[in-house]
Amino acid sequence: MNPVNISLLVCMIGLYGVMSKNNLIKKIMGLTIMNGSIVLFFISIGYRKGGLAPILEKGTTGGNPTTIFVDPLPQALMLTAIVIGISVTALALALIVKIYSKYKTLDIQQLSKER
Amino acid sequence: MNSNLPLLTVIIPLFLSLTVVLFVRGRFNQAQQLRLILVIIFLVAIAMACLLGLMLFEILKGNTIYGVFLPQVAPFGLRFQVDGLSIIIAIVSFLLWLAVSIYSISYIKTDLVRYYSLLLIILGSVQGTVFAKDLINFYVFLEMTAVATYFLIIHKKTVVALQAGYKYILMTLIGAFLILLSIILIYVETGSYEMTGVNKSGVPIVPILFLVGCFIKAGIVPLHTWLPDAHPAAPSPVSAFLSGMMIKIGAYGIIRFIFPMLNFDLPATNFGELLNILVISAGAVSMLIGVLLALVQTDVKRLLAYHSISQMGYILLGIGLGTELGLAGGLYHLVNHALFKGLLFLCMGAVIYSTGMRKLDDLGGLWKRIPITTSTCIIAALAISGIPPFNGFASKTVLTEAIANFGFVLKFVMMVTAALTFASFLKLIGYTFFGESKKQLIAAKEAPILILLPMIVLAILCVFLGIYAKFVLNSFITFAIAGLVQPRLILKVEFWTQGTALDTLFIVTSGFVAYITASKLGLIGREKKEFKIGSFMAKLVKYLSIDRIYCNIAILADKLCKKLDSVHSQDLNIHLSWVILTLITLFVTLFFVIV
Amino acid sequence: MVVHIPILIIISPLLAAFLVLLTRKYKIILSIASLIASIVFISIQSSRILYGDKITYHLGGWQGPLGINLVVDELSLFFSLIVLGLGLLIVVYSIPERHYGRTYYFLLLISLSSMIGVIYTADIFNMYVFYELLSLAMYLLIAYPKTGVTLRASFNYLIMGGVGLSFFLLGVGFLYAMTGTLDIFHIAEKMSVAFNSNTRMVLMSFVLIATGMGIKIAMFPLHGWLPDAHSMAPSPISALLSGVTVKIGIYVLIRVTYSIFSAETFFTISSHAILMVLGAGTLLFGASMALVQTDLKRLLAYSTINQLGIVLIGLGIGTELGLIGALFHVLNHAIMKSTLFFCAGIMIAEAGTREIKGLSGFNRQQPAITFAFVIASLGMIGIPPINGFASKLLICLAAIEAGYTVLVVIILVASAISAAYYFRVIQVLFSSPLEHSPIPTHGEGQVVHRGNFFRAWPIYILTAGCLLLGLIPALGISLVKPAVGLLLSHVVP
Repeated sequence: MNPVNISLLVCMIGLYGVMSKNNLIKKIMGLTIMNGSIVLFFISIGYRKGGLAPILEKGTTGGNPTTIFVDPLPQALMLTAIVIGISVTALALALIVKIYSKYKTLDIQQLSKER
Repeated sequence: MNSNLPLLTVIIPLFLSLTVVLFVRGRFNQAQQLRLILVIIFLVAIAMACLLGLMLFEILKGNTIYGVFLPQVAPFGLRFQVDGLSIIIAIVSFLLWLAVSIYSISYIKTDLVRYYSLLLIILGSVQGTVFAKDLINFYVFLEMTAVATYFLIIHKKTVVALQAGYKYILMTLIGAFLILLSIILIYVETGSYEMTGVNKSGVPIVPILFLVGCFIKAGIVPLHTWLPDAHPAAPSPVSAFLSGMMIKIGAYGIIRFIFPMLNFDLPATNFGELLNILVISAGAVSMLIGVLLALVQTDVKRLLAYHSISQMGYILLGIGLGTELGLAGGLYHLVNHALFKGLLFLCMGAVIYSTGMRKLDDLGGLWKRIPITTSTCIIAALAISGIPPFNGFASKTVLTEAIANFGFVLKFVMMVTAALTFASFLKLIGYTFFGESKKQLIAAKEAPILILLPMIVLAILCVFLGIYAKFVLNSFITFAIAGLVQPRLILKVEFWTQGTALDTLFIVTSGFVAYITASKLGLIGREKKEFKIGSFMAKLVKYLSIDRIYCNIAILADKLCKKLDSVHSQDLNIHLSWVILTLITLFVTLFFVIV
Repeated sequence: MVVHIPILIIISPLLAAFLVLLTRKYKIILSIASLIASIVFISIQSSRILYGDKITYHLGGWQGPLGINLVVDELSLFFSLIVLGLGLLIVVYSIPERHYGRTYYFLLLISLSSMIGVIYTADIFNMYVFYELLSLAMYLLIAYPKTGVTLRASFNYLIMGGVGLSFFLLGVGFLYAMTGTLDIFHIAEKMSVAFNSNTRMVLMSFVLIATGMGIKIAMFPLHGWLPDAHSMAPSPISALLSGVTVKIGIYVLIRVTYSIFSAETFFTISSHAILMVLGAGTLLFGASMALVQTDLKRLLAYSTINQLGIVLIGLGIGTELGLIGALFHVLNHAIMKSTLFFCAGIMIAEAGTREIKGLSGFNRQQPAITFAFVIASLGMIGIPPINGFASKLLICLAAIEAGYTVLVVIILVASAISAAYYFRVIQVLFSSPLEHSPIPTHGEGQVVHRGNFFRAWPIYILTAGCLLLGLIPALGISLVKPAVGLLLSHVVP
């Protein structure tokens, strides 16, 4: 099983969590798992077997065409994605705190009955 | 020839309407507003009289006026074409409009600015509808009239008026959408919005859609149910204009677009014949059902509204024949109906103005107190029943002549309808102006001069168009239909013969007989009736009414949507599972389609 | 200076957003000034773009597939004009709401700036980033009143939006895996090769991106968040959501379907069929749900779903006429729906209730606002000569030309239903006021409020826009036509 498939599987697990759990916190956990799986997905796209970190230094293997580097772009992208994921989670948690103080419940079924 | 006249005729009222809204609203008190509006009506009257006169003069010379303006406006340019048919209807609508606006000055007391700006919009857009050179212009102006009319119907803002307006706007918009669908089909097929497109298109559904749309606009049975609600709910002058002109727009649409396809003289294609039969039978059914329903009404304006349905039937019958004589009769009746039905509504408005009552039960013995209203109303009633020498007689004679070759059934329907019409107006006039005088009506006085003046003028016109029937027929009506039936011909219709005299005698006697028998049986008559058969009739009418069917359909649709709304979940989890489902369905579908 | 214009358009509201946080007095002036600056910048360039000259700006001086480019072409110009124009009016409309503090303007500016970012960027990951930023700002703006229902609506939107954007990002990942680049135009070039070698992955990425954007534009049956979010949010934000934000989703969908996934004709055809089917479903669903709503803003929210269905049908038809109609309808809907939400805001404030029944007699109080509401709703129904008619007509014509008569019937049926619900509101506005209603009637029930200047004028401007575009549709079409030309030039015959 290659990392791409694993990451998709993890994504499905996250999706399942978002979809089926009634607790707001658990929903957010599902969303976070989805986010994590996407990070894994991107990283595994950029992965090359036996690749080095793409850091060039003076006088090292930079000029050698046979050296394999991992793709640095997905890694850079994922730094951004992680930051975004964290801010979404933070916002969601803030909302949950507010919702709890209004309704005294974290259950989505009960919430949807409230007017 | 090309000219700016049609554009000016359409634009001036619309522009002045805007002026009324922007500059008169909210700055002056009611008296000042009324004065300003009076000035504006006066200006419009002069301008329109000049413009229409100039166009009429030009058209009488044998020209057709064309005008193409502002190619990017609304939405594909304003294209006008004015020929005999358009100018006749435009002139009649202008006359009626003028009568109605002068009448309204004393009659309408609230929301003057909105009322008059809407009246101006209606004037402009009716002119636009009849001047339209292509289908899309026709449609645009048709919708403008429909919406402006809606706001006039709800002018009183009572619950009844609002409900009637709602029904009106829904039905009329459905009609408009049918027309739009047929226009779109024509455009895609022929590549243009030209008028001739309807008959060029080979798809049979196209003219039928158009026809049904026009039926709704014209209030033809079984699509009439908005009409008996909307006309009584509107203020009386508006009802006069609605009955007198707005429903005629539907008939105009049929004359202009469908008539060229109806022709018994040509080697008949099956389809043309089908259309003929459709239009004729719709006309005949409307005539009979309209008048039967009118007989049992007790509200004066509702009674008149049902007569509008019946008289539209005459017009359609004439058009549906597909002959020159039939068309001439239909058009003549259209003009006449505009005058006498307008007059009838204005008269009843005057009665309501004087007494505040509109039920036949509450009225009676008014002729001594309001003699002018009484006499004009009698003239109009005789005219609508087809009694000589009034104009209704003239056009019904032409129609009788026209159906001479079409068998006995049509003739029978026509005579029965005429007799019942007479009976029904015996009831209306008898209960309103004669009979015992009610206590609460002692204070009734004749309405002010501005209300009476338009009525008198319309009554004079009714007489004039009846006495000079031959002249009117051969110099205006034939000239109006010259564009549709080539070549222009002289119609030989004799008005003063034994046959017409006998017909009249039949109508009058059987009308009397019908009225007396029916009221003895309690079939018609006042609301509180000791005879059981009367209430039985009322119940029958109620249960058989098409209106109920439409209402039930609407209620059913509403219930279905409510059901959907209650099923539609607030639950986030269900929405999320829809997301997954969509994702999977999309993937599977695409996968099988492509791979 | 001129070279840097694309980035300046984004930066100016962004900078203002942070400056707003520092000041209390000048928040409104700053917001308006920054938006006007952006509008001026875009106007400088607009004629050049409309003549077919595409502006490309390399962020940080990095070229081509590696760096992030900002590309302003006809399509982006069109959408950014909608965003900036309506954004400005929304800020003006918010002025009388004294209790809207600095954070409100901060979030509003952030959302507008990130919308422009989504529209201009040519880098698909960057697009995702801006879209997340936009969504974060929107979640917060919906929850701004901090009442229970708004918090719940915001949370629901966050969950669904979060899932949608995750799908989008996954789709982007697939695209990157196949083509090794993130620049939309480079991806498009490499797409046909990728399609032949790796069909399933192309499919996967298309489906993921379409579903993700489907959630964002409330395509049926992915619309779950919309009725709550659009109706519970404060009125200017409802206008922003319905009028502008949803259009961003449409923009991304158009970019993606027409630029990236247009490589193979049969693929295009089937994706178009999907758009049409979903569009028709969205249309009918929105219409029939709006019919039975008793809450004014909820009715307007469902009406948005209804109108988006028409846009989707237009996009699905995909002929030149259909696309012109669809984009023109995007413009018209943005104008009309903002007018309606602005009016609804005033009505609800005056009547003190959101129930339609409670609005009776509104016409007596504010005839001008009622007039605007009537004009905009007539436009929604599609009555000439108001702008909605022109675009609906174009879409109907396109549908029949392409042979889908049934779509036209569906559009007309939905129009009849929308007439039923809009006139239901209109007749209440014109009815006599209820006796026990909370509406203050001064004197003889004559006009009592002239309306706040800042609230009324955006409505007047938008109403004038409705009438102008309705009377002279060529104005709008000339703006849309170059964009459509651009879209169709991408499609490989």
